[in-house]
Order: sequence, then structure tokens, then C-alpha cells
Amino acid sequence: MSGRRALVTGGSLSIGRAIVLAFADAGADIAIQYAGTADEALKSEGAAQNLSKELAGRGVRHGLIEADFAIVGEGKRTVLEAERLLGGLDVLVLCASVQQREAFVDISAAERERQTRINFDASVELLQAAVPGMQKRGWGRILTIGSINQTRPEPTLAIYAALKSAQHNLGINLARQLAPYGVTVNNLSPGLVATARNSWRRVDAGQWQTIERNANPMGRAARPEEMAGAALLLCSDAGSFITGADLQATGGAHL
Amino acid sequence: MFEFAEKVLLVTGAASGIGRATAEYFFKCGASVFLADLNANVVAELAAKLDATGSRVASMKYDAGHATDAKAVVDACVSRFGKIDFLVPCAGIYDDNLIENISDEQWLRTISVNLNGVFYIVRQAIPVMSDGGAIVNMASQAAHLGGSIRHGHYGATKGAILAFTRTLAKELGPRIRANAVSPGSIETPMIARNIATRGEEIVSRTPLRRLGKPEEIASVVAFLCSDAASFVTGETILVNGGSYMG
Repeated sequence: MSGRRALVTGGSLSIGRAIVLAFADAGADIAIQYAGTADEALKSEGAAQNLSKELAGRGVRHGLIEADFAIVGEGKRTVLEAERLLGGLDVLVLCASVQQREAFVDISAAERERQTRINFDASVELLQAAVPGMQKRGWGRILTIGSINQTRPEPTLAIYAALKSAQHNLGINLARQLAPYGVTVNNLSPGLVATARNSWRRVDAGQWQTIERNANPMGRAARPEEMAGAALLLCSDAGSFITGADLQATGGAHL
Repeated sequence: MFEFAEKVLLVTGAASGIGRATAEYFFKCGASVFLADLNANVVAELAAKLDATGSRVASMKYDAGHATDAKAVVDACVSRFGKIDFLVPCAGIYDDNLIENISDEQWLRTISVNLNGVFYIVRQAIPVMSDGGAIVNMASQAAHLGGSIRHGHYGATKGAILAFTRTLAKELGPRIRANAVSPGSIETPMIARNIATRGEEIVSRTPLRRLGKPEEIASVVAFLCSDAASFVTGETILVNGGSYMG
């Protein structure tokens, strides 16, 4: 990915962070969007700054963009800022999302709006802002991070699951529209991954073991790094004939 | 480019097209490669071309439709390289005929190579495959929604490969991962006559507006065999330029 300029949203933690590091290893310049308050809430204060130090130590050209996707306009601003930092944008990875476990009938209007805003509306803003430049340059890679919940929705994640499906549907639509411009659009659907967001599920080690054992045919959760290879495939020339695909990295949980 | 030093690939249908590209790609990535194909002379030439010393490439005549050949090839690969890390059965045939005109012989021949052949070699390889190994089967766009006119037999075998691969993933996890690739229209000798007669139509129906190259399948096969795909099993990756989206 030498010479490629990538924006990774939600890039300070877990899967997003692993993708940032893999892209950096592959030679890309990277803009990293993060939300400081979200990282703090996950007891990961300063995660973005720590990642920035690590990248600087490796000599990677990069920049941090703090943005709260709950606010209208922040998606668009993030793309403009990334283009300013890197001189353009060749790769867009939509990884930022929020998740709230709740019974369907208990989900408040405010919570539904928050999830819709961050998990879908902001993605639309980011895409609308990033696509024209890719079309103009005749090359682009767009990767949406979806979820096993698209195909195997969990009862307590109904809105999250529905929004991930909506994002994938939008991705297929754009894949068709943008292919003639050399822009591919794909989705990566992780299964159970040990992330900062679900660290609370690992507090009880015994319970976590049971969750892992029953999660998929591999009987374990993935490390965030295990998602980065697929992201690299879909955003590099190795995946040059793949567009409109939904790659399941679930340990077989989608079966 | 992936790193496959000290790894061993057994690939069937290695004389041409996707099988050949896969063999070449893995060899470049450092793997030892065992080439199996009905066309023994061509794979022998490929073996010599890739590695004149013969230290990392070997070849053998192989008829996919015979269980005895599957056993012979697996035994020979283990005897030559000591193990099998990756199995990629690419041997396949692709005849054109409307379903009402397909003869019993034509139907059975397609089933024999494209489906029985995969079963025979996978069954034979499972007990000797390394822990952490990977199987990548070749499905096809013809297996998915929309079918493929004049390829009812071919499409049926490839649909079966999808189901077979998913069961493999469930049965073999976590020791071995099993996945499939569903290529769209790739520039190979297998579909050369289609390209000659309907090339423009195929390209116009492909959002990326071109045919795929065999190397673009080989790189995805390599991904699925690599540690980069360590949590990917039971999956089918569509590599078709957008001509079918799941």
C-alpha cells in the first residue's frame, strides 16, 4: 500500500487500531479518526495518542482526527481533514460504531437515534465526502466493518444488527455504482473478537471461556489483529477483482 | 505477498488457469508445491520451469475422478515433502450444454471430476494435513443466484462444493480451516470459448468492466491459507469484479 492514503474511523482501539497498524506495515499514510470520550468510556484514555507515538516511532506519515460522529457534519469534516492531512484519500475504512445491549422493547428513541447517527448516518456523510475524490482519481478502496449480526442477529443488539445490514446494503449499491471508476466497496463481518468494547465480558474468566467455546467451530474469540489481514486483502491490489463482497471472519459462526 | 517458507501446498488442476497461477504464486511466496494434473507433461514442464533443482516443486499425473489417484497424489506429496499444509483442489471441467441436452455421460463426467474429485482428495488429505492447515475449494459464480445457462451440470457441482466446504469447516475446526473462492469470469483456457463468443457481454455485465486474471484468484487463495485469515473458516469469497454480489 505504499503511497496510498487511508482514513480509518474508530482507529484508536481494537479492530480499527489493528487495521491502522497493518496498513502502516504495508506502507500506507494514515489518518485516524477517534472519539476521545468514547475511548475514555472504554477505560482507554489516550489510546489515540499512544498509537500516534507508536506510528511516529516507526516513521509512519499519519495524523489524528478527533470527531464525535453523534454530531451532524463531523463525518464530512473528518474526510476533509484527512484529505488536508494526507493530500487526498485513496482508502476509507469505516470502523467506528457504538453498541448497546438492550431488550428490543426497551430501546429508547434517544438511544436509537444515537446508534443510527453514529453507525449509519455518519457513514453516509463520510462516503459522500470521500467518493468524489476517488472517482476523480480512478482508484479507491472502501471497506465497511460490518458484523456477524448481519447474518446472525443477537436479540439484545437489534438496532445495531439492523444498522450493520443497512450499511452493507448501501455498500453493495455503491459497489455497483463505483466499480467503473476503479473503486471497490466491500464489507468485513467479524464474529466474536476480544475488543475493548466487550472487555466486560472477560471479567468472569469462566463465563468467557464458555462464550468462546460456543461461539463458533473454532471454539475461540479472535484477536483484533486477525481482522487486519482481511482488511489488507480488500484494500490492496491482492483483492483487485473483489467488489461487493461480504467477507465473514467469524471462525465459522455464520454457518 | 504472503510468507509460506517451509509450507507445503498440494494443488490439483495445476497445468493451467487458476491452478497454475496458484502454484506459481505460492512458489513465489516460498512454499514447496506439489502439482497434480491429468496433463502430466505440462505440470512436469511447469515444475522444471519453477524450480530446476526440484527441491521445492514436484509433479504427478492425476485423474481427479479416481479415488486411487487421490490416494497416490497425497501419498506422493507426503513422501516427497513430508507433510501437507495447504490443499487447493482446482481440477475441474466446464462443458457447455442446455440441461435438456446433457447426456448421462456428460453429467456423470462433470460430477466425477468437479465434485467426486474434491471429495476424494479432501478425504485422503484430512488425516495427514498439518494442524493449522487450510483447504481452499474452487466454487464458481455459477453456484450462486442466477445460475449459468448451459452450465447446469457445472453449476450443480459448484453449488455442492459450497455446501461441502461449510460442512468441512464445521467438522475440521479448529484443527484445519476450510474455505472456498467463487471466481467470476477469469481469463483462463477453461472459459476461452466463452470469452471468444461472449466476451463483450461478460465484460459489460461486470461492474469492474474487465475479466479477472488468474493471479487475482491465486492471491485470494493465498490469503485464505495464510495466518492473515486465521479466523476465517466456512467462508466463500466472491472474486468476480462485482458481477454477482451476495
